[in-house]
This record gives sequence, structure tokens and C-alpha cells, in this order.
Amino acid sequence: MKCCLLFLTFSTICFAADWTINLEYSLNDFSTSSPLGTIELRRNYDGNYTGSFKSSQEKDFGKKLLEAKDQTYSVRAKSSTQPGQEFLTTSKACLLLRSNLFHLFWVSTNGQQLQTITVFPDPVASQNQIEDPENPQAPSKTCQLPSNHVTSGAPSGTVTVSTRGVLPTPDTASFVQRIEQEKRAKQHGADADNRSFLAKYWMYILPVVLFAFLSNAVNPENQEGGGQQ
Amino acid sequence: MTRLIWLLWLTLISGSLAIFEDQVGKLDWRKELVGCPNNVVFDKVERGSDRIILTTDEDILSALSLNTGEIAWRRILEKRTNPSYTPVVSTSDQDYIYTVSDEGRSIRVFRKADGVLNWQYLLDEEKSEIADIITTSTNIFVTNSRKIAIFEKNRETPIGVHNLPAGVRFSKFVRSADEILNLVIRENSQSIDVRSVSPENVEVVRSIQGNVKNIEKCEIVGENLVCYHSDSLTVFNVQSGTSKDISTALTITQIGGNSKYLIVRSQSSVKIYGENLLEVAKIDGKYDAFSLSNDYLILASKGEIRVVSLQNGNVLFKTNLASSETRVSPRRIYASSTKDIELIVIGEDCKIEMIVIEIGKQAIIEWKREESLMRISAVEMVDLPLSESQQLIEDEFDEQQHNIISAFIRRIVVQIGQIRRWAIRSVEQLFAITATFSSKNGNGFSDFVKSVKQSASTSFSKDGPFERDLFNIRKLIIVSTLDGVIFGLDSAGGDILWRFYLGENFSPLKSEISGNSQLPLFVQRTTAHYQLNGQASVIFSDSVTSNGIIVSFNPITGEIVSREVLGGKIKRVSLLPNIDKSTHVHPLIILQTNGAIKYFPEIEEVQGSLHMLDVEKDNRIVGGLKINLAKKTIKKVWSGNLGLSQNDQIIAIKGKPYNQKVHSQGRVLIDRNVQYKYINPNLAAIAAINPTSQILTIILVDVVSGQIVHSASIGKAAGPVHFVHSENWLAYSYWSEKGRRTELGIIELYESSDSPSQKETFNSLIPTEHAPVVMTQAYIYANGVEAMSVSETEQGLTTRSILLALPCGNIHEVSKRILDATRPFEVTQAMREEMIIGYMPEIPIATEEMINYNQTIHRVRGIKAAPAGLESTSLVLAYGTDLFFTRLTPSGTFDILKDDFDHVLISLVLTALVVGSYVAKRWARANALAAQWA
Repeated sequence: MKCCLLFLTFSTICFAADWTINLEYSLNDFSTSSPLGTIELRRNYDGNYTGSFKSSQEKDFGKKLLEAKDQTYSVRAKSSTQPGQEFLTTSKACLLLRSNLFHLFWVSTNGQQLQTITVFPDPVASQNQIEDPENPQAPSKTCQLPSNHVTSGAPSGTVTVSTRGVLPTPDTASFVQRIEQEKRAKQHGADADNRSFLAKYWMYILPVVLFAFLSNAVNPENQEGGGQQ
Repeated sequence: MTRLIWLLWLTLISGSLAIFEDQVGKLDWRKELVGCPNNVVFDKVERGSDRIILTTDEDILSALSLNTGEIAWRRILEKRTNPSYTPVVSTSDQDYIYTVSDEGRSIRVFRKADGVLNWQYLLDEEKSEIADIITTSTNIFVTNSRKIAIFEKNRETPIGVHNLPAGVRFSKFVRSADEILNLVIRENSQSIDVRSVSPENVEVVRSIQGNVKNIEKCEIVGENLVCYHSDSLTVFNVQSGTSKDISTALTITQIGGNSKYLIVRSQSSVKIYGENLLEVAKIDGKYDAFSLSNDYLILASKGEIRVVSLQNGNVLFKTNLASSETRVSPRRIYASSTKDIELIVIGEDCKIEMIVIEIGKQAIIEWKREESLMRISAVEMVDLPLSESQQLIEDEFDEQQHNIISAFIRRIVVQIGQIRRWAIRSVEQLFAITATFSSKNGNGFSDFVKSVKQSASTSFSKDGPFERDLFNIRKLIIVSTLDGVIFGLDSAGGDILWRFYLGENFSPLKSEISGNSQLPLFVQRTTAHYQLNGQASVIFSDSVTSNGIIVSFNPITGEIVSREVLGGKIKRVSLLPNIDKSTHVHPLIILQTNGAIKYFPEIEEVQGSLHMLDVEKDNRIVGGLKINLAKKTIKKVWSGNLGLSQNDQIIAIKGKPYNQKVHSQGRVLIDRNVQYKYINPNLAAIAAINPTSQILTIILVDVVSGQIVHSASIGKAAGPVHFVHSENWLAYSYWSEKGRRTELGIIELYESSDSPSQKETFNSLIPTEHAPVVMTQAYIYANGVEAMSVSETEQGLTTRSILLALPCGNIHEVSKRILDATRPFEVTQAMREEMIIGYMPEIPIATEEMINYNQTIHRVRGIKAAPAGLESTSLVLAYGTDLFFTRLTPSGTFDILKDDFDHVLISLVLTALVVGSYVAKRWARANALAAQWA
């Protein structure tokens, strides 16, 4: 029984952590709008959120987009944790068509608060097909679509959640630790160096020996020469 | 070992950063300022030079030489946090100056001769809106809104403190007959309390009945307290405790006077009242300021100065200074008369002028100081126009037609021109050399070398023709100040080349985010288009109608090209990246509060769209606006709260300079791989602080898409927060409450994939395949930071340096290599070979890295860096209380010959060698011939 209660409380915590963002889209600046789907955010064991997009399964989504392919594609989001607040994001209908109606939702969060949501076309699909990256000098050009684009079907998408990070602080602790470690290593190294005197300082001894040897080799001749004279 | 290497490296680097003794003042200059005076006292001494002692709006106490206007000494006191509080008040005797500063908290005594602090005493822990000080031969009396303190002149502790009742809003001393009286007006009080103040005792002697509504309109005139209200004047006699009302039939704007006379100034006339408040004279005319000295009343208006006798109001002297269009109305004047009248005029533009008036003869402006330079709002550096020969070369390659003969003729013409110019210049130099020879009687070789060097340096000096030099190092600095004056400064020596005032109704724009006043300055057309003059514009608002006004001018000459009054208030103003094809002008885009969009100058063919970040400060809602430039429509493309709560205060929002150059796309890693920088030109950095929870948040947001690329926060942080946003990184400084120290942080963004995801142009609407990699690091900085900036070079190839202005008056140059997020904890042998610096938690502060060596500059508010023509060199102007300009070489002078490179010696040695070898050859041949004959 106790165990069961524990499980129950645990599960409620789990469900309370769930958090949904309702999305609706419009192709005419919200004169009319239709539901796009919901993003469900679920808390991981490590405290971060992962999101998944559940589409509204609207069948003629692609067709609507194609009809308004030169229009702005706006998405309005309402988070269940922030009642009364609306988040707006826009993209181009053309870009979504090029990426075969595949969305990438960039959700930026701070705890259980939504900071912003941004809708992107899928990067892989759209990047492959953009031969002419949008020229800001000629924006009036109409939407060019590849021949194999998909216009039927419901929207689909993935969700990337980025949470607010923590700014670093100066890492004095590990630096001090490293210095200590180095110091210790040095001490150990000095103690451990029990090579023989010759093995350690041969590079200083060798020139001295060589010099002595050479001068010895030269001097006797001189002395001999002097003797002859 | 690593530390040793690090130290070695540091000494090597810092050694190359520092300058030599003989380079002092060669590449840099400093301008010291005192600020806009609010009180001037003439200090005439029997021995030594006469001086004036100023206290200024910037809370600086200074002494200027009366003859030259140079600063004798200057003491920078605590700056008021609230401008409505009383500025520094002072009084002086023979040897000392007594001041109350720091918002009525400190009493300080300075020696007059050299400004040395004699003693100081903390009067009060709390701030006070008002303060006054008066001295007798032995005592000092000080008052603020809570107490009256009595000091002996040579003791730094008070001999008596008298507490005032609560709610004091006026407390001033009056020297009356042989005693000191103190007048206090309390809130909601119908009377003025008069206290007699003596070293022994402070007591209320009487109270004068009378209702004083507006204490700003009360002055102590002689022994009376005079208050005015529209046209009526109330004179409270302190001695007798009576008051008298008189009607002047004028709307009073200013009162003043001495114990004998009371002067009342209105918009159209000035009245002199004599004893028993009888009207002595009325002088008609619009005057802006007056001053009394002995028997003279000096009146000043925009272009005229008039000296009037106080006894009868007769005009003794009248002079027109200059054409009134070029002059600015005076704000205050101060006069002192002995034989002649010395007049200090402080204009509305904070220009201090010293005028000597010889009555009946003439008035001469002896000197002037431009003190508005202390309140610089924006700085731009403009290239000087091309020289004649450079223009000819440009012309040659500009030509479109390829006719061989015409091109040949053109080439010949150009070269003849070059030869002619070279000849003229050499002749001039020759003259200069002979002149130096004739003036000097020393005829040693070293003298010759020195004179040649000197003449070489004079050809590069300040008096040369006003044109671009070889390396484009000399620039013209345009400066806009909050007093409404625009200056053109010569970067070679800081001389003011031109100035103009924006007009009486000038009022700066106010930033919604920080609440600071600003006078934005934009360079719309640089001097790169040599056929056309440059164009720069300033934007401000009319103080009466609060409509926007744009004044555009030629940045080289300061000539005003146009003045356009807009039909509404300005909300946002920005420089368009688009360029008008025919005029090469970058138009300004102006968003008005009524929603209208305007271009200046009007542009016909404009396409595309512009994205702007929009912040609703109160609701903490941040959004992106897309402006369709052709249709002039604004559309919101994204919005969100960026995670900012109601308590979060946005401190600053910074984008990147749109013309910033990033030379290398990536960073080479130790394993020879390349990590590509995430260079998003649309990225804006937002810093917000929550004072209650002490959380500092930094958000990097893409303005076009609204994507938060990175956001992070830190607890236990407090202001001041400064940051710079450049290339792919953001450096910031804050006060850490936890460590009780200033810390510097750095955030760097890199692409997560191995190849740059967007090669040619960056498109914010398409995401990178993976989220960018964020690298962060923080360092301890053992000093406060007042301002932060980053060096800029021509191609962005040189390692950048971060410039930190310190409260102690130094500017510290920190290489980006040190303030780096990628410094490794463990330095391996391979890293050491690559000169990678390991992580140390502290940024070392070496005195050699101070770019202003011992030239301290105080209260730095901003640092402007601009590229020079040489890649190694960045030009830096730091501004605050002082101006400081220098050349910065963040990676050393790799493309410049050393300053002491001896051109003369080398060429002499070379010619000697050539000649020697030739002679030796002849000699050898002769010898060989002789040998053969022998």
C-alpha cells in the first residue's frame, strides 16, 4: 500500500512536469487561423526537457501552404505554464514547402517558462534544395519549388529544446588543485630520480673530459717541439 | 613549469606592448577638461598668477590660470547620482578652499595654491539634497538638510553640531552685519526660521512669516532673502524679520545683486533696485545673463556685452563680440573689475570664454575652453580626403573606356603630376633643413642626423596639408556632445578643426532602455567617394515641440548641408545598409512614435526589408519587427518574453557593427582540425539584471528569426555590467557578490559541424543543422571596470584586444588570447608549441599593458576604436572627463618599422659601401696594373 502511494505521488510529479504548448498557424497574419498541433515537453531524469510535436493531422495543410506559397507563415504559441502570454514566430511558406512540410521547433525555456519559440524549416531538407539563398536585394521573386516536393499530408516536425544555461564562474578550485598536483609530481619526480651521478650529469662532464683530453693530446707535442729547439 | 613559461611569455609580450620613454606623447594625446562651471570665483593674488576657481556641473573643483585658461590643478570629487541634488558648494579664504561635496556628506578643505587636500570630514552618512558653507576668520559653518556643523579652521573635527528639524528643504547662511545667520524653510511651513550661528551656540532668533512656494526661485541677495514668483518679488529682511512685496510688472527670470543693489532680469529688460527697493534704472533689451562687479553691472546677450553703471543705469561701454549667428547665448557670466573688467562667459554650449573689457576702448577674447567635450555622446572617425596624387591615381583606374592612347596620355599626366609634387615637397624639405642648419650653430654629425630626422617628422606633422596620409592613420574625429555641440577633432593632436552648435532648442534623445540621453551621430557617406563630399548627420529633438530634427554636415569642414525638421517625435533611428546608387549615401531610417517611417535623405528605389529588435521595457516583451522598406510597413515577425520577469531590468542591448570584418572563419585546433566560428550578423546580445534576486542574464537572440541561440544566467551578480559583442564572442564584466570582486566572462559560439554550414551568406531563417557549440569561461579581474570596448582593425586579421577602462584612470588592454573561452586546463607539449596559454583563473594586470601609461583619464564613459590603414593598428579614443587618443597595436607592430629604425644611418652606410666598393675596385685595378708593370 505504501509502495503504491509512493508510486502514485511519483507519477503525479511526473505528470505535473508535463507541459504543453498549443500551436496555431496562419497564412494571413491571423485573419484566420487553424490549429497546427501541440508540443509536449517532458522532463527527463536529468531535469532537462525533451519535446515532441503532435500534429493536428490536418490533411490539406500542404495544399493550403501551396496556395499561399509567397505568404508569411505565422505560428502562434500558448504555453500551458504561462496563461495569458502569446508567443509569435514566423517563417516563409515557401521554405516549409521546400522542406516537405517538415518543421523544426526551436523551443527556448527557462525552468518551466517558455522564453521564445521559433519555427524553422527542416535544415537538412531545406539546405539541400536552396540553390539561390534568398537574396535580400530581390525579395519579390516568387517561390521556386523543386519538382519532387510534397504538398499533401499533415505537418510534421521535431522539437529542439534549449534551456537557459549557467554562466561560468572563475574556476579557482581546480586551478589550485592542479598546481598542487604539479607540485607534488615535481617533488615525487625529484625523489624518484635516483640515477647515478654520471647518468644525470654526463652532458656537463663530457665536454670537460674532452677538453682535458684534447689539451693533453696537444701539449706533449708542444713540449717536445720546445725540447727540440 | 607552466607558470614559468607563462611568466616568461607575459614578460615578452608586455615588453613589446609597452612604449619607450621617448615615445610618450608622440602617438597619443590627452585633453583634460573641467566641465561646465556653475560657480566661478576670481582668485587674485599679489604674487604669482591670477586664477579662477571653478566648481562645475560634473562635480569637479579646479583652478584655471586667468591669463591662459590652462588648468593649474583639478580635483575630481564624487559625482552626484541625482542631478537635482546640489552640486559641490565652496567658499574660500586667503589660502584654502572649503567645499561640501558628495551630495552634502563630506566637507573637504583644499589648499588654494596647488589643490592639495588639507583635511576632510564625513559630515553625514546619508545624502542630502541641499548644502551650504560659509567661513569667518576662524570658523567654518556647514549645513545640509539635517544639521548645522561648526568647525575651527585648522581642526578636522567639528566643535559643535546642531540638528535641524525634519523636512528641511532650504538651508542657507547669510552674513549679516557681524554675525552669521542661517535661514531654514521647512516643508509645509508658513515661516522662515532664522538661526543665529556662532561657534558657541546655534539658536532660533526669529521666524519670518511668509509662504515660499518655490524655493528654486529664492536667492540670498546681500543680507536679504529674495524670492520671486512670476512678476512679484518678496524681500525678506533677515535682520528685522520683516518682508516686503513689490511688483515689477515683468515676468522675472533671474534675480541677483549685492548688499546695495538688487537686479531683476526678465525676458525683455533688466531692472536695478537700489536702497529701500527703489527702482534706479531700467535697461531694455533681451539679455541672458548679468554680473555685478564694484559699481558696474555687466549684461550679456548672444552677441553683445554692455557695461552699465549701477548708480544711474547709464551705459558705460557696449561692444558687439561677433556676428550673433555664430555665437551662443551665455548661460552665466562672472565679472571682476580692477582697472579693466575681466569677464568669464559660460555659454549655453559650455564654452568658457575670458573677455577683458577696457572701458571705453575695446573688449578682447583672451582665451576659450570647450568644456562640452566632457559630455560626449557619440564618436565617429572619418578618413581624411584623398590627396591630389591619390585622386589622380584613382581617376586613372576609374576610367571605363580602354583607349590605349588616352590611357597612355593619362598615365604620363599622372606621373608628371607626381614628379611635380615630389619636387615641390623635396624643395620644401630642403628649405626646412637649411633653416634648421642656419638656426643651429652645432655642426657635428649627430646634429646633422637629428635635423634630417626632424625635418622628416615635420613633413608628417600637424601643419601639413589636410589630406590622407600614406597609411591612413591620421583621421578626423567627429564628436557629438550632450550640450548640442558637434566637434571635428584632428586625431594628430586633438586640435578642434571645426565646431557648430545645434541651436537653442536643442534637446538630446532619450534611450528607452537605459534612460540615458543620447545624440546619435551617423556617417552617411564616407570620404571614399572622392568626387563627393562626405556626409554625416546628427539627430536630436526640439526641446519645445519635441519633434525630431536632423542636421547633416560635411564631416571634413563642418559645413552644415541641411537641417530638416521632422513632423513628429522619434522612436528609433538607424542607418540603412542600403545605399543610394547615385549619391552613395546611406539613408537614415526613422521610426516615429506615430508609426510613420521616414528616410533621410528620401530614397526612391529601395527594396528588401530590415529587421529590428523591439523591446517593450515595462512588459518585458521582446519582439522582432520586419520593415518593408519599399512599402514602409512594419510587421511583427516574432515575440516572446525572453524569460525576463517583471523584476528584470534590461541593462543593454548590443548588436554587432554592420561593417565589422571577420578575417578567419575558423579556429585551428591542436589536432589540426578547424572549428568554425558561428558568425551570425543578426545576433543581438541582451543583458538583464534582477536586483532583487541578483541574477544576471545574458541572452543571445537572432533578431530576424527570434531564435534564442544561447541564454544563461548567474546568481549573486550585480552591476555595473559592461559587455562587448564582436565576431563570434561576447565578453562581459560584472560584480560578483559571492566572490566580492569583479569578474570577466566570455561566451564564444562555434559551429558544431566540421564545415561551415552557411558558406557565403548567413540566413537566419534556416537553422544550422545542430545548435551552435557554446564555450564559456570566467576570470577574476582584480579591478573595477568603467567602460569596455574592443579594438578594430582594417581586415580583422589582427588578434583583437579588449579595452577596459579602470576606475583608477587607466585603460587596460587585454588580448583576446588571454580573455578566451578555450584556454585549456591541461597544457600539453603540443599546445605549448602552439603558444596556447593554459587556464589561470585570474587575468593579470601588468602596468605595461596600460595603453595610457601615466596619463590617467577619469570617469571613462566610452572607448571608440576605429581601424587605421595599417592592419596592425587600431585608433582608440577614450572619452569621459578627459579625452585620450592613442594608436593601438594589439598584435605588435608587425607591419611597421620600429620607431627608432635609423633610415639615415642605413642609407649612409649603403651609399658608403657602394662608393667604397667602386673606389676599391678602381684602386685594385690600378694596383694590379702597377704590379704588372713592375
